[in-house]
Amino acid sequence: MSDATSDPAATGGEYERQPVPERARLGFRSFIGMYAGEHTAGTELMIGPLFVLAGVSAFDVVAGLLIGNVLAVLSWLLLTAPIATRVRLTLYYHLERIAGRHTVILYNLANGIAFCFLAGAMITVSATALGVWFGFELPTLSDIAPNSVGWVLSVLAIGLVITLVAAWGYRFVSWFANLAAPWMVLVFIGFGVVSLKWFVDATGTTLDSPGALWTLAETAIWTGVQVPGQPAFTIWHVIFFAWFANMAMHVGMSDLSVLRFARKSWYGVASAAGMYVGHFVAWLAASMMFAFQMYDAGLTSEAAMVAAADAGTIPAPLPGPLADQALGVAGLLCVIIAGWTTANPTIYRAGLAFQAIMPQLSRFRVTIGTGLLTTMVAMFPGVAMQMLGFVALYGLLLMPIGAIIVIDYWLLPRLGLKSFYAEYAGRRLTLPVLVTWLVTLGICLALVQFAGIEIFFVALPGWFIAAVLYIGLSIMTQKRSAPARDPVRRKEGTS
Amino acid sequence: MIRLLKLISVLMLVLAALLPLLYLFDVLGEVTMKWWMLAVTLGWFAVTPCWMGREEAPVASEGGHD
Repeated sequence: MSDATSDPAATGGEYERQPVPERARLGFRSFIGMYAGEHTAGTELMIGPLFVLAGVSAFDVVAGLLIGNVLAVLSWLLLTAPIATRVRLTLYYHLERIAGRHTVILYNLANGIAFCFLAGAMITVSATALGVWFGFELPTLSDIAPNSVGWVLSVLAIGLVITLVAAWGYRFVSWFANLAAPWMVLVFIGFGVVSLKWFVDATGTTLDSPGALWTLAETAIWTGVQVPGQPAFTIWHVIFFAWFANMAMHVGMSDLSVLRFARKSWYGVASAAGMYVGHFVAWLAASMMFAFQMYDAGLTSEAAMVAAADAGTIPAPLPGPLADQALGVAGLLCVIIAGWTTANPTIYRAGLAFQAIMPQLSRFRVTIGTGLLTTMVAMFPGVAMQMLGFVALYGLLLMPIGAIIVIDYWLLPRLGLKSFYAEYAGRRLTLPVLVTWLVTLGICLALVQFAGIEIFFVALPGWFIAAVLYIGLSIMTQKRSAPARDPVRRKEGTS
Repeated sequence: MIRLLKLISVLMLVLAALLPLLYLFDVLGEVTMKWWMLAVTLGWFAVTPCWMGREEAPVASEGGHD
């Protein structure tokens, strides 16, 4: 800490404001491990059950996840990695060169707040495991605010530990996350296998063929019966949700900061490890655990579901009790570790984002403040219970910036316009970026609010809206200001 | 020594994968399986730090994924 050297290698190889040099680049295996670990997180245990509440059918969830995850991997491979490995800058510095310092501050604010909500949901997940040990009342599906003193104290305890570790011992957690990742992946798979056994026993099925397994999946696990008040998911919802669950990272370009270390552009395909371990196996396993709770409660028909919803007896998707039921103490440890190891880097990154806005404050103080804000969010279980909508909103929020980066890098030079215009013109804020970002978000949210398009689907047309807006506004701005800035061209133009 | 520790770590992972399957095919009871899973978990976290370096994956520090 005291040895604040300017050598990036000595400061953890961050290379915040310079391209990553050859010697610091990493091989394919580093990215496989990183993606598999980062995407097998505590929130997967929340998202899987929410699919069941949304009434997905077996075919829709399996085919939808397969297709949606392919699209996500292709987004990393074709959008993020090619720019990351050509420019090799962090997203923040890249954006500063395009849009100016003040735009980055706004981006950091949006990103930091979103990270707080995400990390808050992870702490919520971990706290459900403590509920099993200490026996306090856990939140129900309809709870938005904290419902017991035990819950508040539990979230507070976990939040404080995670905050202090993020502020002091971040590198230890990073190492511990890598250590836990292989074990955690297998425990997640174990959740699925054990819940499959429950279904086999409860239905009397004999698993003597793939057909028998599929019939079990269709008739008992993912029955397609939706809980009233929850979003109703079709295959299209699953595809778009899986594709855009990490939209901020691929289409939104946050992972420029990660993939700038890749030796080759095709390393973007390593994201498949995260998608198919975390967002396929883990989501399916978690949803199977919860599906058995629903099956066990007799909630396999529309009528039973409506009656249970009216009576307020729909089971809550609480990862702690589910993991305890499946794998005992090992399962509970998995829930705590999965929440902890992924909440920590998220709080750390949120702290960095906020510190960029208030550089006069130390990173330690900002991280403590960020962690406390995150802990407050975690006390409200409504955030985690509405995870599907929140994840879609988070991706949408940062998506226009990704579209701007792609257009700025690939298309503007072909149109005779300048890339990295803020740097070229010495601007701290560029209107094309700011207007594109805000107007795109405004249009997307209006489509959700007034045109009845669900939030899961607006990001795709939103990307093209952002692209067209940015091109148009860049042409207007750059053509108008070019003569004023270039005296030679101005003279030619007036002669 | 390191090779032996790595071998034990691999064994822990194999067991972590195998135990739920043994439960699925009625070779192990639920309670036994859960105890063994806990033992495997403790084994993994006791042995693996002895050989797994602390500089394994610098990019993981970029974080922020769900």
